[in-house]
Amino acid sequence: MNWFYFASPATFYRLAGRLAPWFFAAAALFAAAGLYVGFVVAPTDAQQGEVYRVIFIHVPAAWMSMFLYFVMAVYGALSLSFNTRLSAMMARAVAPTGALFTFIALWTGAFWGRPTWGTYWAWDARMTSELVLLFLYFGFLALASAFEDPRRGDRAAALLALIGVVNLPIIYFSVKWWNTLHQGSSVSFRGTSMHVAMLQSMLLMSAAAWMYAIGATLTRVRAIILEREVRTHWVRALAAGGP
Amino acid sequence: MNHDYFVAMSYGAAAVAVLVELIALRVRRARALRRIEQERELETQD
Repeated sequence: MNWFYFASPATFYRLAGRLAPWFFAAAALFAAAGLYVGFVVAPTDAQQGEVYRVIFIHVPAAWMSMFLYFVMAVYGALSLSFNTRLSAMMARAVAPTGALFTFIALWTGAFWGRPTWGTYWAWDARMTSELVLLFLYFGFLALASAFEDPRRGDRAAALLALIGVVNLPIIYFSVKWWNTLHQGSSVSFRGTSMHVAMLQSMLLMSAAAWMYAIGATLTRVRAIILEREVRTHWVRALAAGGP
Repeated sequence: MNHDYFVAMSYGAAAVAVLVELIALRVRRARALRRIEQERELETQD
């Protein structure tokens, strides 16, 4: 398969248009299954009662917030290294969804923290580094739109994305490096300390988050392609009667 | 202590945030298509 064929905005626009609805549909199905298992099948937690159910949205959102930043930085690196237009557009398309998941992780963490820790917010290492991640996303978006020439914005934002990658291991290892309010990981490649239904719900919700993030990114990159390629013949022809 | 409020606020806010993003995506696409249409009209006027 010639992957460079899909690096053309015109080709990728059509491919993204065909794929995005399927990813949104898969996200809805995974979310419905995850919520069912999480709220109906999973038992009440012995220590936290019902409030632990926030975990089914909090943990997938936190995972996605870090993973999407990494993806955004990889696209930024590709755009800087090979000067590929589509990579820069993809980095821009990933950023708002990454910021959304970071916001959800922080918000749900606050509403989980209040009944369990007694406070909505503490300057705990994990929470603070996650907040820095949100500011990095905002910085990326602001920097990308700060230039009249979008290609200059792409390069500046890609550089910021690459520098910000240093924050990802800080978030991940913060619970080991510092004495924080956060507990250590309940799930690892070696096993889990969770009830099986709790784990199933969390994984289903994570799959929903993945599918949603891909669907939203593909949908957004289509709009970015239209904005950037507005003067090309294929976009004119598409607007005249295409999908 | 009733924890329903904290669970509802978590899932409610997440649902609203996702809804806002989906609306923003539709608005952005509509704006991009409108701009293309305007460019085409300007071209035909020229």
